[in-house]
Amino acid sequence: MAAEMISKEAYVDLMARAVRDQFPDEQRAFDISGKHVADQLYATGSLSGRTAPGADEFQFLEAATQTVQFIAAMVATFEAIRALVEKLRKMKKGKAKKEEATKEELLEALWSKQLQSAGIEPEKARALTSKFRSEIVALVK
Amino acid sequence: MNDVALESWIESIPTVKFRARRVKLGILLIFAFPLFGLYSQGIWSYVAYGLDLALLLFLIHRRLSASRLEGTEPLDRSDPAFREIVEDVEDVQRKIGLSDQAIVLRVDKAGFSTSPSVQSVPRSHKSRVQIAAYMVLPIGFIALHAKERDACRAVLAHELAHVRQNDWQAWAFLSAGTSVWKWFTLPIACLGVILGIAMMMDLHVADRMMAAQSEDARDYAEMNLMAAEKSREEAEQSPFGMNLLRKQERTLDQQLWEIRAGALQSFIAPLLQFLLLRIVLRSRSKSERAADQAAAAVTTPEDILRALEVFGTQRPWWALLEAHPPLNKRIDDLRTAFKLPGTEQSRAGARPARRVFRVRRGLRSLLELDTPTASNSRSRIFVVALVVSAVIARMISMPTMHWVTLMANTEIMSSGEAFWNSFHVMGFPWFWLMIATSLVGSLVLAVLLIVLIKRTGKEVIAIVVATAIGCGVEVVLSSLLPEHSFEGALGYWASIFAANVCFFGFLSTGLRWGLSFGRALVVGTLVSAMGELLATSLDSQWWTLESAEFTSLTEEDLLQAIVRSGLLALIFTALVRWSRARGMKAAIAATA
Repeated sequence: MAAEMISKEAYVDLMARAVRDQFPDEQRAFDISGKHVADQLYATGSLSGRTAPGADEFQFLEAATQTVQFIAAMVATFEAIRALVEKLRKMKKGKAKKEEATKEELLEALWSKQLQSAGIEPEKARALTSKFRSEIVALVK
Repeated sequence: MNDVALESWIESIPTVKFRARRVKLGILLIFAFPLFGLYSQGIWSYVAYGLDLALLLFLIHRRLSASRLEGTEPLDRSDPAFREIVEDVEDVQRKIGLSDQAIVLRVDKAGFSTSPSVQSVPRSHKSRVQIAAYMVLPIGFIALHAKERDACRAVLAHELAHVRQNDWQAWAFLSAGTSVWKWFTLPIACLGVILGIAMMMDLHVADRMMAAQSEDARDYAEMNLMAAEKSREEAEQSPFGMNLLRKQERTLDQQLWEIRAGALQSFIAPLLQFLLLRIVLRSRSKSERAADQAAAAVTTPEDILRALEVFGTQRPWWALLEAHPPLNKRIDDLRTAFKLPGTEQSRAGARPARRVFRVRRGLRSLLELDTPTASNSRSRIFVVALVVSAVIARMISMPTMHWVTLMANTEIMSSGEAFWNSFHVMGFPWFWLMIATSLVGSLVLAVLLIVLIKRTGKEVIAIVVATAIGCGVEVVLSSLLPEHSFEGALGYWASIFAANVCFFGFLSTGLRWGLSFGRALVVGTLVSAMGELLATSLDSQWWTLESAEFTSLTEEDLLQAIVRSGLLALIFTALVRWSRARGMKAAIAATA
């Protein structure tokens, strides 16, 4: 679990800076709910995508993750950190063959893939990975 | 703001309120009327009827209970973070004539829906319990509001119009009713129909089998008459025997007609219920239209149209019990009411493309056919994985089946002896010829599947066509082997076709639903085994009817289906995981 390798506070702090940098429109929403998203990710390992509790809602998109970018970025980053941690653990135990790539390159490959599959534009994904990859690797113990 | 439209809507509110009362009564009547409990016979009809009603009441209670607000927090109207959204809510409230106390705002910080919702739950007010309206604003909506304020304001107006129309309680009844029908009534009805058909077949089969096994069919008839006479004598002596006697007096034909009527009834009662629910849903459509027009009047028609056109979701065609009217219809109605151009365009469903978060594209994404660099190696792995797993699964399942047959039919062998003897089948050339047919068939299936998905992009069609042809090749080849008939092979085709379609179909669907590969595979495997069993069972029944021979689903069939599907899944997983690891390594190398 990412929780073993990077603290929740450090993760929220990192995402706050990422949102400020790449998704300024969503700053207010992040301030209200960023910590809740992190809590859920650290508690369950995934985002349930719970919708509002009622059948009487407006005929709207069911999940905000399709339109709200910061949630997609938070989930993708969490997944990338988890995959990196898992990969490093296996390498440590000798289960996986030793990778020739460095930790940073490994994270960039994983993170970029996760961000883009979550619907983040390639330019934003590249900007995020190039700016924050060193920080994440430094945070991973 | 359009004052004329707003006044006209306010004048129509008493009619809408009256309609909401009719909805509540209608739903209770639909589920309370005893006819609709009759989708099974005897005591079960009353059990089904009772459960139907109990579930309805339970769901209504749930939809009107405070638990609906769990996980939400009171929204502080003075909090600067919510300033803009509160301003919009209060502005709309004022315009449509709702007091501040009429609605309680709550925020759902972990709810990622983009849509606000209105709930009605009891609350104590001045030591009295009242039903109050709550509007829940999920964080997704708050985020969207910051970007699309005008459209979101129109959405708020639509929801608040529902509160003003006082119809949210009626919708709690309606949604409970549709849930009960979808998740209880319909499955029970399907079960009733299936059981009816099975009972009919059972009577047919048993009767014909016994007649065929008797040297003279008249012996069988006489034996039945004697049994009936004996039962009559016993029933006459028993104080509780009159009911039994009446049953014994019925001819086989009468029994069959009763079962047919039961199966038909299983189908008709829920159908009637469905039709009545559809009629009630029309009321909801009218209220939705009224709320849309109120929102357009309070804000502007363009705002609500933008909310619908850009962020609205079209319900699938099969969602016949969906509470909202079709999206295009709502758009057209608004355009017509406010005399706006573009009706034809909305009917064509022209909407901007949206990004989709975590929506996987089934087998297409698994094979990475969208990625030119990875597609070739991934496709090769898929072909190898499928062929190897199909061949190994067959190699193991054939002796296993033989083992069970030996165990069942030979009393002199111990289970250990039977086990080792079962592997003797490997010494026969036909065994290896059968394996070769599996190899060719699965190869054709895998290659065709990839080619068709790549060329057409239609996964379902690709799965069905490739499976039909791949299994067909295997069956035609196996029918050429000695002691194998084409008719027998046809039955085998049905079972492997069903198994493979279920396997790929549910694997693909599972991935589309966002399941992990492992979970999708488990679902695919289970459904595949069930599909194979069902096909084998129906095939046995069909042959039984035609030839009056008694065959039915046996333990061997069951074991073979489970072993084959399970092995296929295991080997397939191992190979695909290995290929993923390779793919990841290649991606890292490319980045470096």
